[in-house]
Amino acid sequence: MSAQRVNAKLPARGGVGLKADHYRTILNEKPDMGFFEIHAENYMGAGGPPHGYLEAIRRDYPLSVHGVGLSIGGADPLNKDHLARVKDVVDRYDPGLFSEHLAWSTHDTEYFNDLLPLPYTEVTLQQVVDHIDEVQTFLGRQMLLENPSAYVIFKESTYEETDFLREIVKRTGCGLLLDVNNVFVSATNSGGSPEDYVDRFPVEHVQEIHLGGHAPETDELGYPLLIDAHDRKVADPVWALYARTIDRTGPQPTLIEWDANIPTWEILAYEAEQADVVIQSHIEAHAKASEERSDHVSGA
Amino acid sequence: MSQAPDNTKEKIALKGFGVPLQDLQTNMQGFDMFSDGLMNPAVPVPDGVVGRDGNPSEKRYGVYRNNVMASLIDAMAANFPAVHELVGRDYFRALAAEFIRKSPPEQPVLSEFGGKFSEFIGAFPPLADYPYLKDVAEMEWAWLRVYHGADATPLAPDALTKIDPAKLGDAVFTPIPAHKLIYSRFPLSEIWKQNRSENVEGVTPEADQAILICRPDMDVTLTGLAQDVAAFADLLFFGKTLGEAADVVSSSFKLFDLSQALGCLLSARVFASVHIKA
Repeated sequence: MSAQRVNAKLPARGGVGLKADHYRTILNEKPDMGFFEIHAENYMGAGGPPHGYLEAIRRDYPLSVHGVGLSIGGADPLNKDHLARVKDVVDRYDPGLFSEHLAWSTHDTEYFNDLLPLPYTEVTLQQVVDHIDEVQTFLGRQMLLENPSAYVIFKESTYEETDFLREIVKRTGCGLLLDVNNVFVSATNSGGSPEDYVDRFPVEHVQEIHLGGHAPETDELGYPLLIDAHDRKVADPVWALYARTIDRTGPQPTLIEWDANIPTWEILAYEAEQADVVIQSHIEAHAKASEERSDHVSGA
Repeated sequence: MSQAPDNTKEKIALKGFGVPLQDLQTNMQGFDMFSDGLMNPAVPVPDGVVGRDGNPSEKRYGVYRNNVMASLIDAMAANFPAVHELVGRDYFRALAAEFIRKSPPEQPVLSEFGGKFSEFIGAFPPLADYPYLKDVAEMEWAWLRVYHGADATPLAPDALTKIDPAKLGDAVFTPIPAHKLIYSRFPLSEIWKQNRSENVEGVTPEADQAILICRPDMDVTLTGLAQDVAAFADLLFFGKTLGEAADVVSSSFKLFDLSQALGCLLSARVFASVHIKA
């Protein structure tokens, strides 16, 4: 069966999160789409329709597997049973990329189903590094780590997030998934500059980008409090930040995350096309710039 | 590689190497404190978790409280849509929140969360006047297990014609993994139809004591079974031979019709294979 599949490698194009609502449209219409991304946890049953559809879709499209439950940023040891189930999904579908979050979701025995924040200290750095080592060893492949969205600030943090991520990469050899909406949300919520964050980010390790919609609220002091809701279109300033990011990272596989109030296939696909437009104009501007440079060189 | 290499253990033993024990303990307390208030609004915002003015922010920490409970309640609503319909949105959200606080998920696969919900409903005093809700929740849980159950090819319709009729009494059937048999004293098929817009096949006034939920291919199918057919199915699933099962059921149900019962189960395609017991 796997012999009939398209190559696993994700193209530097727009892709979308795979939703059950769109299974049939995708199989019937075979739309032009760069790739699909799944949450590993949604494909951990023994059998049934989720696997049936995903097997069929994987034949025609590259896939990225995104875990939401490993709790890599947590203080507890990783859940070995869950890690084994992640490996089953990864082995079964041969994704081009596997990613998880710089966040935690399990503590003691409770699973909270949210990507919870951690302070950035020497202790948490070592925890995250140990966990990533364990994941990469067990899966037998590199993983990407995603920058989180944050609503709070930890007084005890001693690292900037970008430095924390840089150090994790250095110690584990993992890659990075840069979520541009998370950058915008976290920077806005902490009163920082999203542009500065992108400019400081260790972009040479980025292998995928995420984009999604956020909900604007305010905190009790009247400061903006953006919620990483994934329930709407990508906001205009996030598109602008994305263009700035692509100028630094070069073209990257770019996922549109839309997980609640799921739109029609056409609306979702349109968002992915907008990522293609940004990538294309970067490529053209880049080509033009290097043409001008070589003109300049030959003219000199 | 299916196993982590041996050095992983050593690495874990060295975890935190170079970090003072005091710092590790403080760190663990930080995670404890952040966790404690996630499902309990009475717990104050943890120390050191602040907003832009450097003070603890209820609103900001509250985003996590809300995300945790709302997303888990949503997961419950997705797993138990008929219970949700029957009690209404507001009641369901309050009920699910009670359940989640009592039995929070212990692993991240939420299609596997809620196995104790029917039991919880059955023991929830305010719902004592609605005893069918427990059975509806149990049926929804069974449906979910069948939906995500392992795939298997059901027996071909003509499989029995290939068996020597003289040996048919010694036939042992293996069911497909994706099947459940649900018993209830309530009209679950009607409740199901009204609240999940799915029909239970073959329901008659006699055949509403049990529902066979199975998934011979992509779609989950529901079949109403009369009491004798359900008893017969149970015995076959248990590994009894056709002859043994028929004898047991006939002794309790004088009108038991073997060929009709077998035909019903074969057309539900709940069997994966059949062999003759040596």
